[in-house]
Amino acid sequence: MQDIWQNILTYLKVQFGTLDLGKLFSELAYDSEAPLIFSSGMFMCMFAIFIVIYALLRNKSLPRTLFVVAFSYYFYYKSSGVYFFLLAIVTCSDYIIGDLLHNTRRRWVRKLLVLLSLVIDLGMLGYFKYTNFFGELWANFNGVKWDTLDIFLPVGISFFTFQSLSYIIDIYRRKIEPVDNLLDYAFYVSFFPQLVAGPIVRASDFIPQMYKPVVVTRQMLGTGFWFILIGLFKKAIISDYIAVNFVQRVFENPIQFSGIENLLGAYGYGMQIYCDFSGYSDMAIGLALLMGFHFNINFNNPYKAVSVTDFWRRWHISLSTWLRDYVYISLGGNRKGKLRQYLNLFVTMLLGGLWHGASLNFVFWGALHGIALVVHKIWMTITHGAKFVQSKLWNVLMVIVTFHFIIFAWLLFRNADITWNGLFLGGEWGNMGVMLSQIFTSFHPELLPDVIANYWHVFILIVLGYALHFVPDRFSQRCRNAFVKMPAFLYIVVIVVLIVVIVQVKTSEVQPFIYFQF
Amino acid sequence: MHVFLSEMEKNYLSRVVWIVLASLLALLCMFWLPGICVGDWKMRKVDMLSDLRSDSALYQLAASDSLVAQVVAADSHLAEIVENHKSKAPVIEGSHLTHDSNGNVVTVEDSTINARAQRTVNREGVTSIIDMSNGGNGGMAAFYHALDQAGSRPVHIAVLGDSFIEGDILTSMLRELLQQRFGGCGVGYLPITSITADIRNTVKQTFGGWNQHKAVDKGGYSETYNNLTGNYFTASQGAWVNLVGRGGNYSRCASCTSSSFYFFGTTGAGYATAVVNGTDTTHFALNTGTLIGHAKVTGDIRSVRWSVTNPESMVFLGASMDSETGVMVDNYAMRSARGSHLSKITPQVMSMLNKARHYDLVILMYGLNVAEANRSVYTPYSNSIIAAVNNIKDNMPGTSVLIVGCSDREERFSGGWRTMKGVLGLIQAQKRAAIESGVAFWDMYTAMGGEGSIVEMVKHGEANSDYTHINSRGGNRIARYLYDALMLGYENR
Repeated sequence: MQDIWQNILTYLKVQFGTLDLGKLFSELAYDSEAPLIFSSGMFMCMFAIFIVIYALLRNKSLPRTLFVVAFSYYFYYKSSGVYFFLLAIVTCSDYIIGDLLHNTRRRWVRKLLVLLSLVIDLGMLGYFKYTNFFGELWANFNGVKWDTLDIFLPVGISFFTFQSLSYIIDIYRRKIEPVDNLLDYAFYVSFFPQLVAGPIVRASDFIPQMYKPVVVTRQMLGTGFWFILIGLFKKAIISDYIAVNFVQRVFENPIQFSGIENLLGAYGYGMQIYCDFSGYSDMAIGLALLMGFHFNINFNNPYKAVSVTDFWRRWHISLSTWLRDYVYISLGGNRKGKLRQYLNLFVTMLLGGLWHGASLNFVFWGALHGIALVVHKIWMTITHGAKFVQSKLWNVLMVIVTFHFIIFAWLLFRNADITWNGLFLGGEWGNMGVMLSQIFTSFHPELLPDVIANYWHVFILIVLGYALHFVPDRFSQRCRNAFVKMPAFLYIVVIVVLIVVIVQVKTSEVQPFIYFQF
Repeated sequence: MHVFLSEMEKNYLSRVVWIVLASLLALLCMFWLPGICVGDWKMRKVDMLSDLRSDSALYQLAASDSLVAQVVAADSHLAEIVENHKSKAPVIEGSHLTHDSNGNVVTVEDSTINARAQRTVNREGVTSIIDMSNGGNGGMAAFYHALDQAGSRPVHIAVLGDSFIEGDILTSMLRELLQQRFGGCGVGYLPITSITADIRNTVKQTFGGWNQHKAVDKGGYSETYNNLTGNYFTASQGAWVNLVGRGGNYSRCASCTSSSFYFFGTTGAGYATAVVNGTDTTHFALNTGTLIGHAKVTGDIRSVRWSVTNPESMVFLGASMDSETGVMVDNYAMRSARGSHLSKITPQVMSMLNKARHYDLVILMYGLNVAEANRSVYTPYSNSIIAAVNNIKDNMPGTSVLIVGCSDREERFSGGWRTMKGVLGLIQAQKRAAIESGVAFWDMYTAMGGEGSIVEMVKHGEANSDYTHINSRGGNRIARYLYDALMLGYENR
């Protein structure tokens, strides 16, 4: 008996004796290098504590709301430190503006109020995200030097400002009623699952759910865990592994790689960015479901798209619909003639590109997509009613063409070193130019067996990623349904197994770089 | 159906809580699982609280506990040997050095430990070379003495390594710095073909008609022709290699004053043709009657093209761009190499190589292909390096040997990076090899900055994101460290 006791004590000592309490405090404090990402062990521990308290408060509306807001603010503080006051500013100003807007009938006052909200939200976004970018553009234009200002980019600022704007514009358009009080609005703006990386949840979708009792149905329970597990698999296994072991190094130094490796790197990046981004969205959707909230799906197998237009109905849907409803339609949409519609599309995508980051390559990327959308619109007008566009073969062809266009555009997205001079005045294209020249002038397909043999782990994951992506919707729906119907204790088994696998992948040995002759 | 509906409407929030808590508990308990091995694959510890553990605890938990303990013990033991000797070594200023009849530095014999810390003058920030030779054969003295003569004869350095220095990485800057100080020009010796020819910044090397035989390949490599580079070539009629100095960042490589072509001697009718700067043509019969022969052209050489006629049954080695005086640094990089082929070079080949191209210093820069994540003891590797050094010492008298410790290499850890523990054990093994074979050792890992230093290099664009290989910028940095160490030793000679 004493022996058993002794054993337990020893175990506890190893488990907890090596813990460093000082580290606990430093881990809990703000660290811009260590945000609380959903795929970390730290987050899982914190979520466990969170969900216990959340469940205990399920029938106490006010304390629950207060608790969730406090947790969300802490969550934000962890990645952005004192900048959580920005959240508070956006929340307070838009809450007040929303109320005023609702109670005013005079058109010019209402317009002025919307303008005020735009100035505050976009002003903040502009200052923190774009000051240096526009400063540099201005300085370049005037031939002077721009001293880069040391401005911190608060995490998720592009997401929560857009969310808050949707609230104001929807009240302006008389689509929704304002929330009851400031705390409720703070709950909406800061809700941690989607706070730092989306999806951009509309006020009109979210606010009605806040006033219903917290209910997690059996369906929501299963679907929530399904989304979290799928998200973890995409982000922590596929995206993470292929990035570290192959894709990143190709993009960092494409000249060291043959054309075939560059092409595979580009395909790999297509999978990496999809898994990274949609995986995070999936986890956010899953977490929200476990807390009783429904978010709209944010990615719908985007590489199955048959056209660029279709792609934007499937990729980061919460952003593309936001841009459609609040930018494209505000610009006049398709109501002012064909030419104006094309221009509106282009401008919307240009701004959408810029939203992704304060750098010219994102603008070029957005512009390229804008042009593609316009071209596709014109194409649709020309081929309207034609039989061949409905054939299966044509659709398969179009999926392939669209996919390659998207991958090509990702090269712009990923390579920040492309410049205006490079693109339009015949200068260097930076790493993107190197990649293209390797692909088109130094392809070396004969290296394929060597490349695959050396990086086979990576390619298995890339192929698996694409294979899962292209399975018929019906099949994935069936898998999800089967998972949802599983007994709950099996969820625990799946969760534990997946996390053990993730730990193995995260600490696996790195595939050393190999230079293949070409 | 009715039951199902009411079931669906029930609130499952508490079920969420139980699932999350049970999963977390199960994962926390996994920490106590003993290590599971399937074949070569070892399951890594699942530690949900790793963020909260103290660094030393993580260090212990990382690999098997004994590994770290062994490395630490070996480290302190070796440090003791070196320190002990340092304190016993007399402080000798440069002007008081005594030389023997050969000009070698005479050092005080330490009867207890066959190791000697060479330091007399220290310089901040320089990781100094520790010479364990007691001034004997293989020690650094011969090389430092040769540097004194660099104004009147060529001083050759061979850097033997693996993919870490492929493409003249590191050696290009080392060469440039040494040539700037001691004179000399040209890229030195090159194996006839190279898979990294395209990424060499120092020379544009093109070739055709050769068949490469490599020591790292499983078959097709004859021990008879085994040599320092670990590869040799057979040729088809008219096979050629063209070398053009690149200049650029490494200005000393733009041109040279002599070029040699190395081959295994024969009695056949083969001959080699050299075309210098595209115009001056010279023919050489290859029946030199020696085991290893070389043909040589001189002049102001910006480009040279060597080709062979009637090469049947002949074996070729490489071509060089050299100068008649000053320092030449030859990059002998062979991917996947561990340096084990060096002990198997026959004495005949060794001494003939020494005649054809005498090396004043051989630097052994291996390790990345030896390090294993969970290994602390590398005795067989130590022994193979000792055998390689002895082969060099026995058959190339007057050649200094410098063993360079393995560079920093990372393993993944909770999504982050940290130094692979096996690297530390390997460095001990390399240091031990230097002590036991009585040659010099330079700790590249410490010079780079020690624990996690390659992570910083990746951040600054000086290393690849495999956290293993440096790029040419990183190579330039480490070359400067090595140069400083060599110069510190030289000044203290």
